[in-house]
Amino acid sequence: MTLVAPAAARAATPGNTAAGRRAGLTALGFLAPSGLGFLIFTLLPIVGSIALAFFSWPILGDHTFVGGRNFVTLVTTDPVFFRALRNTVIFVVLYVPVNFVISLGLAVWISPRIRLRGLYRVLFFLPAVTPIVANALVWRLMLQPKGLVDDLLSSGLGLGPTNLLGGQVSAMVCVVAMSVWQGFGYNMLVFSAGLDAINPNLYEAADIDGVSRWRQFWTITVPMLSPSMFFAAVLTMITSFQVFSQPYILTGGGPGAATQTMVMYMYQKGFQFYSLGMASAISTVLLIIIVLVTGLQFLGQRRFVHYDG
Amino acid sequence: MKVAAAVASTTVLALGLTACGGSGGQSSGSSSSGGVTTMTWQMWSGSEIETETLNHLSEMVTQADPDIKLTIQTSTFPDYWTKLAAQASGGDVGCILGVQGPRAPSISSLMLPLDQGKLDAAGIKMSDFNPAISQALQSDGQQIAIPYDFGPLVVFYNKDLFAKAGLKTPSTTWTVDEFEADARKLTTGGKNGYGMFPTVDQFAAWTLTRTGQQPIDASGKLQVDTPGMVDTFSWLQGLQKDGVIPQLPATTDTSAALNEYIAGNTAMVVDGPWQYGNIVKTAKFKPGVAVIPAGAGGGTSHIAGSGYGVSKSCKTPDAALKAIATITGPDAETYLGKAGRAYPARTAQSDAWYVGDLKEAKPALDAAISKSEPFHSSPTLTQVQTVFQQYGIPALNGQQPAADFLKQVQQQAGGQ
Repeated sequence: MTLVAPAAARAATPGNTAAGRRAGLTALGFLAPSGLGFLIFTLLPIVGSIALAFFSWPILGDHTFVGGRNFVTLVTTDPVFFRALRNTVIFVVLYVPVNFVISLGLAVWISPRIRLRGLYRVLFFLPAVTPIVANALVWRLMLQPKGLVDDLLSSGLGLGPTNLLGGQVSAMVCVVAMSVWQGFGYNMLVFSAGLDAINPNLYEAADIDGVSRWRQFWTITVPMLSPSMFFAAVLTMITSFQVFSQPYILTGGGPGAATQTMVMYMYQKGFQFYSLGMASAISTVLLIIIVLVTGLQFLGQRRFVHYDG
Repeated sequence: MKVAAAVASTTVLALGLTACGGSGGQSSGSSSSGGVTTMTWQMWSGSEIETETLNHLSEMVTQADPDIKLTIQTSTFPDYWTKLAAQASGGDVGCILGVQGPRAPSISSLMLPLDQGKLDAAGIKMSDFNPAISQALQSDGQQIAIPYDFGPLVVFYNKDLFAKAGLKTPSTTWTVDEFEADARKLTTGGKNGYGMFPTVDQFAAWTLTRTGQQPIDASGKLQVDTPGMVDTFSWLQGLQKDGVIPQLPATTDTSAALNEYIAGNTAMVVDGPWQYGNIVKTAKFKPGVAVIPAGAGGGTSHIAGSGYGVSKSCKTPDAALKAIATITGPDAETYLGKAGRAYPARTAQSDAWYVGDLKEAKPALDAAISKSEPFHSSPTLTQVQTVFQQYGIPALNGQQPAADFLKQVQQQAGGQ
């Protein structure tokens, strides 16, 4: 018996048998298309972009190597960079929690077998699949002076004429509101699927023990949903740091620089001020920030996320 | 295993093919097949009506020369310059490019210099065109574009609202004070007297008539934080505070004020004669045209215009110049003038613009043009415009003092 077991154990290790090598090659074959695509269309451009950050690269003109000068300019003399960074952080801090609360709340609301559940799912998911530029244009028409919202507020509630897209604070609130409306459907679907996967026996046992619905939510639903919440949190954080379309269409970054985010500033520097080197420097800084935040979330995963055994 | 390998290799092949297909499918500047040269014409367009006129011009080219066909690519005016720069860095520019006078210095490196030989071969005589706009479309003494329109900025006003308020229509010698008095009287019943979007050219119209200075001096240097400039912007802020100029939402849409005028919400707006065709077709009231009112600076206006040039990367420059000769030729200019799309740059065809009610505007415009100076531009005009518009909106809304705002513009856009 001792003679057979080690031989079988050795045979089972991949890499040192013909079957193991074949399995390895098969895996490589299946990974090749995706890996090749990732290499050519994602990794190489990212490396190229980071390299560009160390050059002075005007769109029309000569390119020269300048080392870290772009980064130094960004953090010392650039008048807009820290404002754009602050606006991005404010957007993330406002958008992500509101998005979570609304999507989780709605997912829980439609999770029991209520009538027309499927229809509600479709309706709530609709904004997420409609083109964001078209949505932003319609919201702008509604929010601008003498638009729908202005009419409702001034004639309906008796307030004076409003300029929601012209106030420093209200402009950012409008951008966040529009983004939440656009984006909550995706997370709601993720949470809805996660809720469906929770074993109903857990709730039955809690009912028998006399646990209140509110406590059931916090002690059963949230921990069981934590893998979906982790997934949603990582993705939502990443996309909210990269926000561009909503402020670009709704307010153009204004008033002044009140809603100008990092990606908008990068676009302005690269394609309106024709300085691709500075734009790449901004994008490199953004990449580092997003990687750090995502890394922190993965570290927190061990403590906060409960996976089924 | 064999099946897996086969599946994997076909997917790699498919991926490779899509990659190749994707990059090669971009439109190149020109192509020829069967003797017909097809060229890409890049131009800005702010409305469907403008696009229709461009299509009509393109048909005129093919009628004049069946061997030439044009494919038109349009963007909105602010995006046109961004798109042009991005395409230029990718080596993917069209053959015929729209060039606005003030922006000519910043894109001169993209344009093919049109020397006398090339102009003669295409049958273009520069002496047929207004000399001021021809000069604005030159770089280093060489012509880089053939002009098709030019004009001073004018005041479009709503004749119906003027009549309702019992005001007489602006004369050719009206003053800034009369303008302000009319605007205040017209701010009633939910309407505003004057709609403004803070662009550098609109601001320049007011500074020129009130102080005789433009925001950019004759050598191309930004001088926007001088006392005269601050005084003019403060005056505009005062009008906004009193409700004469409506509050502005933050937007990059430079037609915001014009659209409010067309919708009938504001009684007056400053814009160029090239907008007249769009206004008359979409507005539900009778529009009138008046000169910029005369101020202490002497009542001068600045003129700017646009033209068409050939890009350096065009493979068929002679055909492109021939097409340009048609779209800036006498017939095209007459068409554009009658449609109200352009005040023709060809001196002989200028009168084509004065059709119908516009005939009464002729003395005013002639007076304005005779007392005008070219709009001073700088190679970094895009930056100046971007910064001025971005911070001008909250400044005009009263969120920042005029001096601070103009100093910010001077610092952020003046040094480059």
